[in-house]
Amino acid sequence: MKNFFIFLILTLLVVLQTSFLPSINYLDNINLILILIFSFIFILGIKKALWWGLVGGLMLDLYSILNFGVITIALISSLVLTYFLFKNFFINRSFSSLIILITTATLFYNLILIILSKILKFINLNTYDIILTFQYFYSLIEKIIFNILLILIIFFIGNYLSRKLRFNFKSSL
Amino acid sequence: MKILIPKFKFIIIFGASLALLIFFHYLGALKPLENLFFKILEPLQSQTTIVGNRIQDYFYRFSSVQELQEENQELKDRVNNLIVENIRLNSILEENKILEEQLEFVKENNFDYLPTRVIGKNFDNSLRVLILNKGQNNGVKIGFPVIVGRGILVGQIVEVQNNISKALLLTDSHSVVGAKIQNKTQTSGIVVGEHGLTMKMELIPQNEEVRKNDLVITSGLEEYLPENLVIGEVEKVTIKTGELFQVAIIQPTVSLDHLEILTILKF
Repeated sequence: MKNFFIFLILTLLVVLQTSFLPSINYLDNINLILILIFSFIFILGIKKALWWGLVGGLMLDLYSILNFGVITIALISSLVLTYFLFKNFFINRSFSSLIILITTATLFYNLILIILSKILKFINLNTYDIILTFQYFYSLIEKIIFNILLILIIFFIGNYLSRKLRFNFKSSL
Repeated sequence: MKILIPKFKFIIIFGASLALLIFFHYLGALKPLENLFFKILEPLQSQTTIVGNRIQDYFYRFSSVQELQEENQELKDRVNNLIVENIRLNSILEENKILEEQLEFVKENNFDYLPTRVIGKNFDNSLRVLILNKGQNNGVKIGFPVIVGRGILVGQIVEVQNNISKALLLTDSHSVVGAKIQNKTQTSGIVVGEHGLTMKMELIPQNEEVRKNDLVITSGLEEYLPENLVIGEVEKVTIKTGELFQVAIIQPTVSLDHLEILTILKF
């Protein structure tokens, strides 16, 4: 039942990510799936977060014109790196750690997307790649800022409304 | 060692699942599941796209004080007409109007056509792609042009699945379309997307006279792309001495950010 509920939430967020958010300026910088799966690391643990990352990533891949699997791989890689940093370097659970972690996750996710799309285009497996322009880097900064804002809002609301969330957040460390 | 084995087992199972799912997708084994997924979510996606567009329109209108004042003045002038119109108009009528306009154009030109609705967009703003609710089952093929209004080209189909297709907008940096300018000499060149924001026309010989507001249309040299579809208007011309060609910045005649109902031409 719990898994079904998570699946519904994930599907709903995929719908919003591919239809609602891209229609609105600035909000199109938010990566809801990345943030949700990122939050799962603290709430459900890394293994479950990775499985849900696989589901969410594949759903997003269906709506992308990049090769199928590219977004999933980028999402999972960024999660693994975030978890590695979280376990080894940013263990003090402060807001600054949270900001650094989401920044790293966003940066790494986009970096993997760029590298994979360039490699696949270079070996003629895809016509489309991410073109690196000034606008792209500008939008990358916007993406980081908006993702940080959203994760902080979620974190504050979550901590305020639910003691359980706080407990799980700590117990998963 | 005992701690490492479960971790290793998880990595193997997880990696194999990922690889198998991607492999089965390319094999087509997941197609029924994927089609079902699109079919179930399509109505919801369609509605959320409309809501998103409406919200964006609202903010766009009031994005600056100057615009607000102009909008206010315009609204005052039109208020009487709007009261009457508001009673009569509803969203279905509005959609019918758009469709009628597009149908009129395709019938006039004897095109085989397919009305379609935008159900989503590329979620990463580095690529400008629309997701449309018509696919292979409706006869859509890669390369078909997508138009709005009376023959205004907005993009081309780049990927087709059973029930949906993906169209690359003209402003995307990957978009390249053969074009000509509606001037005395029908100057030809190619129109390429500019970072998802605008377009530029390249390969215009230096001796050609190109003016601001000249209309740019398709040349019809590509497969599936008929000639005389409107691409946009010349906004600015850049002539550099010592170069073989001049470059014109082209602005689309419609906003490509708020598209909802479109027509795919089966050319």
